[in-house]
Amino acid sequence: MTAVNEKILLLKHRNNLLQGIYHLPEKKNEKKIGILLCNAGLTYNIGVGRLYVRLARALTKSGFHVLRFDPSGTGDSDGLFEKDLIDDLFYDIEQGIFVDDTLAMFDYFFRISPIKSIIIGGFCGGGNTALIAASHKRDKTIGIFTAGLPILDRGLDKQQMSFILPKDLAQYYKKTYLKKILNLQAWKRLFSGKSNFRLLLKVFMFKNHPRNEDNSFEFLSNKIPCVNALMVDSFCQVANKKIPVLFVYGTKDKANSIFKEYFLTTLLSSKGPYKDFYQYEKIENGDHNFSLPIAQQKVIEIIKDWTKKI
Amino acid sequence: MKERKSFFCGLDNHKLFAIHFPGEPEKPVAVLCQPYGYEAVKTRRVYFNIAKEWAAKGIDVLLFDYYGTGNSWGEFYELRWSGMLEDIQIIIDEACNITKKNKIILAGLRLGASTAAIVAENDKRVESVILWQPIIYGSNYLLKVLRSNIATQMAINHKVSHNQKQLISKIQKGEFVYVNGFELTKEFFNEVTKLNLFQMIGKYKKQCTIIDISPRPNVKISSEYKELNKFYIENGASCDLRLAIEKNFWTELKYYYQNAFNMLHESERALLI
Repeated sequence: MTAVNEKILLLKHRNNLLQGIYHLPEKKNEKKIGILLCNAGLTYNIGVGRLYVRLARALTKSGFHVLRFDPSGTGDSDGLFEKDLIDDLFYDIEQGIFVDDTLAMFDYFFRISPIKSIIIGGFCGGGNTALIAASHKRDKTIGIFTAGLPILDRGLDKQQMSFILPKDLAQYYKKTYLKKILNLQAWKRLFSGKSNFRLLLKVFMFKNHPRNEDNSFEFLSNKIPCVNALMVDSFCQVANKKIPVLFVYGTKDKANSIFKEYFLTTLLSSKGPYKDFYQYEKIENGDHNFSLPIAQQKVIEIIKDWTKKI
Repeated sequence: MKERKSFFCGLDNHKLFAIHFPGEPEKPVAVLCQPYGYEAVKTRRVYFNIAKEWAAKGIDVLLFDYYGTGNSWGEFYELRWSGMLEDIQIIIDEACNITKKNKIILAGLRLGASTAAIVAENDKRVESVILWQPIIYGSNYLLKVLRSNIATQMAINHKVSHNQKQLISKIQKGEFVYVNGFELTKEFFNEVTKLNLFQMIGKYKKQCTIIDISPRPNVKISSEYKELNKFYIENGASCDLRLAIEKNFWTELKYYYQNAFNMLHESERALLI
């Protein structure tokens, strides 16, 4: 193991001590650009499978200063959540609960390093935090990357949510079920009540959400109430400022189908106003957490290549 | 309460990340030993809050990451079980050095508990050991770990391409098998396979607390832990066996587990040394 140049940072913010790890760049390639990593959901600053440590170390080799940290109530930072249901907390994260801490770290990053601008990024809910935070810091942000970004509004009631099934996923399930039509085991499962009836109903009984042809933000946030309006608004704000955004998804991640259905073919369509300000990359066989080694390597590679171009 | 301090310690090329939660002069110092891989990620918040809770009671606490894990130096594939044993020793030395105390409470969950129990065998400074749901047989544990890989295969490919036997064969050929994004290596696998707590303990004669954790009340304490308790007592230790009602917070849950109050409550007596 070669020595790594990493420092521990502590920032007092709103009576909470927030802890972060600052990765210093390799001197020979040093850039005056910082990369701020926003935690994926409630996972602490190392990321699922220690992916954030690997990513941060890889980015320092390209000359970036990198900072990853724990917002209040997570990892090694102070704070306590009153709620404990993960679904409720994810909703809060997607609505920006960690943005205030992220903005404090954003400013702190400038104070403790020679950086002049910041790329901000995150996986899963960290992508929501990154986009919302960037919309508040448009002058200093030069890029945003997200991986496995959830775009639905988790606040919808369960009844509404139960109708949402993107077309390609519905087709996939339909094919899978039809293949099993002569399978005795499958029928046994059905009659013994072990099948996923909710999914069956969604696939065969309900109409899937209609694909819309309107590219406007108004359509997305008003006519498709399932999309997280705050996130759409944040994206539009950064895109209007021509700040590039990277969206990475694994092809086996349900969030990818949802993104394609409700975002890529609408707001980000080739006819839309934002077509030049984003890049969409997909990783074959990647799941939401990029669990497979090949997916981990690929996601790091994509982010590394994209940041180099900025 | 004094503010905690985070730092790197250890040898030049083997730096470990640690957090010291300061206590009071007359009280002992506790070292928290984390479980393995994904379990360590899931339990980080509980560990952090245990450290804060104990520090509020006056106990100095050191929370740390093994080499190759968390915020320590190294890559996860470099993690060895023998390395985990050595790292606990490094942290005990560091704890004694920074607190100027030499009475240690060693506490750990799952594989962290088994590792703590083995370190306690040879370190005279350990006065109390707290074993939360210890792993007694490494081979059984690893088979459960491999099930997570199979679950991932099912989730991604909707089929199992490599069963347990095939995964073990891959490991023995020196290939990495990924479990929740973490590499399971041949070296780690072979070391942990040899773990049989009954064959590795027996010299420790001080205070020991074994805590079985169950999400449901009115369950009986596991017979393995009863045997372990008996084994400690027969070998001259003062051992206490308890049951804590907690969800299995080292696994995937619907809840964000921030505190394990029942587990802490059942551990309280072990702090009185």
